[in-house]
Amino acid sequence: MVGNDVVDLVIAERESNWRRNGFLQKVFTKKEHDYISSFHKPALMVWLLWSMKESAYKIFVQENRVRLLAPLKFQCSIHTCFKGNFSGEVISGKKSYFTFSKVSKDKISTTAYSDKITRVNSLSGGLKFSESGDSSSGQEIISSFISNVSEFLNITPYDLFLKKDELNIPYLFYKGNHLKSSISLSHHGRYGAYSAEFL
Amino acid sequence: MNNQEIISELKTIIKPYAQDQIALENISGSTDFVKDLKINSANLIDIILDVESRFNIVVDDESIEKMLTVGAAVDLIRQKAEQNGRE
Repeated sequence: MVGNDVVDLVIAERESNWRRNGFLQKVFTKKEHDYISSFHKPALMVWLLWSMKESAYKIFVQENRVRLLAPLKFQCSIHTCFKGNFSGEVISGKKSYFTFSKVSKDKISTTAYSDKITRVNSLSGGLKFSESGDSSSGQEIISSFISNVSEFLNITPYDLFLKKDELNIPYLFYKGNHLKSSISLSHHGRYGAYSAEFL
Repeated sequence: MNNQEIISELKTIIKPYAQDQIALENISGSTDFVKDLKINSANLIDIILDVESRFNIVVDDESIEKMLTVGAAVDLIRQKAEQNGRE
């Protein structure tokens, strides 16, 4: 399964004050505090860890069919870091989720996988909106995702349809039939992103 | 404080974070912070911190888990305020 998250760093800096009293304590473990304080850009590490937790959580929701707000229960380790590419692991209970994050000047995008094997039948992509996005942005992400899927599976986009359930989990349909897959969509500020794995 | 008063206080706290102001006007117990008010998850932490300082309570990590709707927040505030009163 896959889960993803995108963070617009400009919007995050403007709309979230992670420096306020109590914020870091509610979200990050001791080990994660150490990552933040020892990194040369603490703010970047805050949002990197955040997006790792968030993308792992999105798999958790698909697996357990329950939503919850428990950032401390998703515990991050960073394994490798090279030129803005971070690989890591998020542990929740007995489960491990494996994350890949890409950091650029004003964006972090992360995809989490429920198992370690690199799958060939998975795709990820993203798009940028001119402003901070609006009510139509969600639809734009879906359109971009569907056109990518249609190329990937070599089928016509008009036969593809995406529907979200009450937990906000997206499901993909081909000619009215549910296509066995795990899908994750994310939108923050000027950025949208999607990840999918076909089973 | 009764539930209606708590909801009204919550509305003031939530206002700066809610992306959907129309949904905020029609707030009720079943209003979902993420699905209805389109609040981003980082701002949910802000709301919890604001609730703690406004109602003078501590929301422990177990209780935070359920804070997905306005109704859940109201229950939690009442429960914690009662505990405070007994101490």
